[in-house]
Amino acid sequence: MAATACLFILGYAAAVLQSSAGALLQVGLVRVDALAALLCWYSLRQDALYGAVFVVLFGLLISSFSIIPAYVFPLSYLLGFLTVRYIVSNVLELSSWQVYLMTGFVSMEISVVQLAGSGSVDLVWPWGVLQAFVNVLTAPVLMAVFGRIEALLKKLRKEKGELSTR
Amino acid sequence: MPQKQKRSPRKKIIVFICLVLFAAVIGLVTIRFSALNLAVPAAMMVRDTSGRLQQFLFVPVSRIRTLWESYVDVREARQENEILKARLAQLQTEITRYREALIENRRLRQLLDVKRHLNGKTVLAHIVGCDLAPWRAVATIDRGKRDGLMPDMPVLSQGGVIGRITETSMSFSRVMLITDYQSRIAAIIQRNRARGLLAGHGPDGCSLEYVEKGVDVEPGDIVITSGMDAVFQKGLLLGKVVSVKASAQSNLFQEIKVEPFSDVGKTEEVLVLLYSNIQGSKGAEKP
Repeated sequence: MAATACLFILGYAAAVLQSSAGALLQVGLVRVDALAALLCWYSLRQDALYGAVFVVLFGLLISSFSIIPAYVFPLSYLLGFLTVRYIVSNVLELSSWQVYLMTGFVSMEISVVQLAGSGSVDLVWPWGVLQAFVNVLTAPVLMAVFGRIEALLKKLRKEKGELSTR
Repeated sequence: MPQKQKRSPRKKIIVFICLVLFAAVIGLVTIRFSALNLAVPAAMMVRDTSGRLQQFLFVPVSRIRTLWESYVDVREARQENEILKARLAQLQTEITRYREALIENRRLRQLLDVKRHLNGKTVLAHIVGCDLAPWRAVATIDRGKRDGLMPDMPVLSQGGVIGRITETSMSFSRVMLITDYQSRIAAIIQRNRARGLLAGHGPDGCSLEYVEKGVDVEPGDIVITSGMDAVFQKGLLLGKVVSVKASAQSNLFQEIKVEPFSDVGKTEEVLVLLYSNIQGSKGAEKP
């Protein structure tokens, strides 16, 4: 539950930040994007069916920040989520560097779906690829932050639970 | 009880003489007998001895005093420096605020000039955000339905047309900028009235498409709205031709690159025309 809370709270905060300070974080058509890393981070922690519903809802929330058709974000995030779940179910254990590479792969997938869905498929090369590359580079920092915040939320929840039992 | 030893008269006389001599020396030093020149050698000797002592003591004392004064000065200077630094920071902030106000004033005056050349009502809006998808040139402005904004209303900046409204909510609207990949505006070249479509190309600016090969187009030509798209009124400034390239032989049209007059990336305030598709503008022929 803490991971789902993180997905919505951090996702919303990241979307607000990226859409208000986007110009500062953007070079060409590539921007520092926390959403793809957040999706991967969340996908690693959730069961398929349960997580898929929240990912679709999350996509709908995020689509309110963009002019591109409302189905594109939920669809791209759902595909990203299912990809991660499929990979996770077929490997024993993922090491950190593999998680970051997987973030890049999922970013690429998300970019392709979003660019195709908004009628700009010709921008996949080079912008979609560059975006995925940037996401790989930023993933270690972002995932560490997400992990910390999740731990904090769990701690707060535990403290709250202890207080209520007293 | 031990009996008190009495001093001998001889010793008393010696002590007395010493005291008299000492008093005489002090007296000679302090009282001037310059006219008789009696005290000069003794006084000189005393002065020299005292001088040496004074010199021996004065230098370190003066050094200590200088050191102390320097310390006090440094402390005061540091305090003064901190006060001045704080004051400087405060003034710097004020200067930045005034400069910002001055620049804003200039921008608003330019927008006012644009407004004077337009027919009908306009609404001033501030750009507050951009699209989440980095490849879309879309801006969010702080005016919405409440202010009378509706989709397809033209949006202008100091330079000319910057885009059109695509979506509105009660307090905010989205503007598709002319550089967006999906933006198309019916345009004409002001000099020879050749028609075309102004297409957005993201960071690469715009291009004027569907202008036939035989048409005379030169770099520097002004491109304005034609009013044929039922969105923008005729004669609004769009941009300037920067290059013309003859495309492949099989292609019927020229490749014309257009630089928008509106600085899409730096615009902060825009004017929204509260109507669309109205023909004619006073500024139509004005570059």
